[in-house]
Amino acid sequence: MLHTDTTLPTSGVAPHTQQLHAAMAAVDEVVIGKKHQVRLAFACLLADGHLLIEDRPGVGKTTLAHALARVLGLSFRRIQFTNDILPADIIGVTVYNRSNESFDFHPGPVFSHVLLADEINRATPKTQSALLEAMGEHQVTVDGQTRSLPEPFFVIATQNPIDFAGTFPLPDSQLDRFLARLELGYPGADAERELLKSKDRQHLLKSIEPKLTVEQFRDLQGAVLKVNVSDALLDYLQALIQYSRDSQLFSAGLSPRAGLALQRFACAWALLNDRDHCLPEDVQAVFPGVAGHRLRPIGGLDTPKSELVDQLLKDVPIP
Amino acid sequence: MKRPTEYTRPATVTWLVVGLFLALLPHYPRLPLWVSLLSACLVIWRVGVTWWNWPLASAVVRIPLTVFASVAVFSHYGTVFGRDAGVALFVTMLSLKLLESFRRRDLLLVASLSYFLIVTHFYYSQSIPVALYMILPLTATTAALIDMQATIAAPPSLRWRQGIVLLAQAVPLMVIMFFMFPRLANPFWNYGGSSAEMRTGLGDRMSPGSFTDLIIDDSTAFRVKFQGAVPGQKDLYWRGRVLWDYDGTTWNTDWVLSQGIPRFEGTGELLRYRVTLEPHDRRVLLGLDLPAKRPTTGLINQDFELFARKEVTGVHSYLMESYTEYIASPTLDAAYRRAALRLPDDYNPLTLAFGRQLRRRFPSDVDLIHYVLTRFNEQEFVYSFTPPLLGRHAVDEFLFDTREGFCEHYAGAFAVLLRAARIPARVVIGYQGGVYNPAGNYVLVRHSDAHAWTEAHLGERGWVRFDPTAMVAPERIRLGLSAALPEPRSLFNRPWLRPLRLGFDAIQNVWNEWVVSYDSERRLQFFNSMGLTETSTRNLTIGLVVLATLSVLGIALITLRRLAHGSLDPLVKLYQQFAAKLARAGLKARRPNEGPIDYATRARKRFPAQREDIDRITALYTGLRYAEALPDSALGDLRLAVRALTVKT
Repeated sequence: MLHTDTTLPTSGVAPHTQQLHAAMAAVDEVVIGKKHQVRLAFACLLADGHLLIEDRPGVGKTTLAHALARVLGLSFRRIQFTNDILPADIIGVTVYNRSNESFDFHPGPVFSHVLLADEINRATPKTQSALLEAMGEHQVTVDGQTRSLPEPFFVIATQNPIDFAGTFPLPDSQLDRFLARLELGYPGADAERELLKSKDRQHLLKSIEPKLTVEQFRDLQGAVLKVNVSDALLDYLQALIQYSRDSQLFSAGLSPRAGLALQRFACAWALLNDRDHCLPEDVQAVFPGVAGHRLRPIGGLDTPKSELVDQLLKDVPIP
Repeated sequence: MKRPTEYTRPATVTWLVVGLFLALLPHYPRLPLWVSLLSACLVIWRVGVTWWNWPLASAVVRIPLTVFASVAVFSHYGTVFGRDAGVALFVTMLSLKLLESFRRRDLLLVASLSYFLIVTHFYYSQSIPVALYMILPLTATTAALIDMQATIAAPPSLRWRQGIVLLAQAVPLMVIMFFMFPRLANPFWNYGGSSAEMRTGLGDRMSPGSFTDLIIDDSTAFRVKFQGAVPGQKDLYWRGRVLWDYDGTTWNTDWVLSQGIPRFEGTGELLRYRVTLEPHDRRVLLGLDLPAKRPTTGLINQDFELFARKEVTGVHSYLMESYTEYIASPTLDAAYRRAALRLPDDYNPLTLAFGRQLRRRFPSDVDLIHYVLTRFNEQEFVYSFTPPLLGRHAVDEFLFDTREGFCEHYAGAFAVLLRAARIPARVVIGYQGGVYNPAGNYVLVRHSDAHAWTEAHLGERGWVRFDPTAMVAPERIRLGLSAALPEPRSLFNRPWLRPLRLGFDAIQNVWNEWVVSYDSERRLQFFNSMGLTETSTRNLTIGLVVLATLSVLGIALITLRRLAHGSLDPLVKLYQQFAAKLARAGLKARRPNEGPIDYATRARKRFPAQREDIDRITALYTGLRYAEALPDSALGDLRLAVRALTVKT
């Protein structure tokens, strides 16, 4: 179902294809053995969406986020969320400047291209919601003054799905703002071996050169919007969304926002695969990333969520 | 005995048994008690086997039971053919069949036989209630069939609904087939079999008291729909049989005398009408006096009696024409004159003497008749349904002593008196009057309207009708029978119930006219009324078969297309052909959720030699369906590519 290496002839209309592939290859060197996840992360950013990475500590969440920022030539800030972190710690504070007798705004880490929100579920809901405006509107309001964030702006958040003690699980409204959710998982044996043999990750990260300019990246984002979505594909998208709403497996179906995210994410995936049109396979490849954190299994179902999502994909025929 | 696996759900068996039992139930009262009991026990046994694990009936039980039932039916009826014996045998055999039905094939057979069992009820009655009731077993049996075909169980309410919907969907086809399809001259229930119950009806003789059964019978004898205006009540004399022979107590028909071609001259307006006769198990048909032609389904004789070609055992409908003003048989041959004057010598001496006396007093026949009728009117004659019993010289006692009776007494006595006075006379029995039903624009005649009157031959004027009853009880003729009687005779004969009764009767009439008595003649008439005049049966059959075939094909095509992904897109069809080709070559079928590229990848692995073809077809398909960037001509390329594809394994 998941094909990143399609060898079918394509028209190759996307701009800066070589640079994009070089960027992906560069990230692959740092985040070893996670080609598919790396591409999903790229597609998520190309679709102009925020990314939630959910996994255990130490599987390379931060490294992936960092590498993405560096290879795209974007500014990168990281916040380690704790339960005593305040909104001002993210957005910034206004401080009285005695020298010129005025209030100066000291921008917080949110004023960057890529914001890595580590362990986002450790922060209080108040702080989490401070991120909401930034994620949704690409702007923040401090002391009644609205300030735009740099473009592009991404939040790459991570959270630990196992250790729930002292956490504030993200509400559905906030989860819905993340275009995609990824699980990295443990590396395979070969990748692990390579990881153990190779140099320090931090050192490697610093050696990553930007492969794309911000302008080129924005061109690519524009190209995603031009990927053709045929009626036949829309039929399939709608069938999937409708099934999630009608199905007995989930207590709530996919929202219209989720539908839009799915379409855009699939288009970005098509572009990554050098196609100017979106195929059912693209939708299937990105669907778990879009649906995984949005669908809520009905209470009493023991089946893991990922299996339910796979089941949904299996149940809905391609029209 | 090894328990056979039930290939169906218990619910299926329940549906089947419910349908069968509902169809059996109305037969039970008609059948010999032992047949009904045996059948009910067998059905219950079968239910027990399925639901309560009762023991099975082994062949040791079943074979002797079968033999016993066949022999018993034969010894009871003396035959296994005919309606009653046939149904009895069918019921026992079907109940036995149910007992050994476990496999799907057997259950299907039982279901089809249940349908046939439903049909057999119409041999006994074709009434609306019976037809309505039969919807129940019909639906249950259909539900059983649906349940048999369904892969998963469903609640009974759903099966009922499905059964009803399925039957309702069949109604248009049924209506078309019923009205259009060529049919036998008579509906199948007019087959002339044995009848368990004796029906009341007009006989072929008249003796004192013979009308009593008829007159208390409120049931419908026939209905008449006139094409024009309905004649007045006093003209509604429905001619039945003509009685020539008087032996002193009984008036009889004379088969020999009646033979011949009717001779008449109609002087008034010719009336056209359709008679729908209820079954009475006799051949005689009724016609308004004087019938001017043979009925469309039968014969007419010299005495203007009408006959069907065989006994009327089902509702029978025919067209007739009549004159109410006429000259019938203006000349009378000597033989007929003798027969019309013949009287037994040793009966009714007083009447004979009185007749001779009248003859001497009135040389003119008309004067004589007028005198007698006036006498009936003026003397103390009473119209009564409970006349005193009469002895050997019945006419003498009636005319000179009791003076109490109803139509048969008057008509008989009058004819005897005329014969005694040397005026040729005969008695006609039939019906008089009827109720006009405005709801259905027809005249309803009941058995209680049975009547007898007299005809006298007056030279050139031919046979002239005289009704002495009209002289005694004019309201009997003017207003109908109920007016001549003091009390309502039954609970339902109340005046305020009249509109309701007429309404129900109108429905019954439509049913009789359009369903029960709908035969080849009615069908032709119906066709003519729609402007289809020159329809030969052959052309019609061909037309209907073609029409039916085309509609079935059309429905099948639509259904199949709907099944095939609900799409008529030629592009999708071509891709399906491509997948079908690969599947035939041994590739595992495409999963419904398998995208074109995933499928192509799988196909390429399986058929490396066709790699290029597969890629090309996939690229054309995705290009047309998803990229929408290819010209329309690409569809032709795809078609060629799919057709050209030959998969070498």
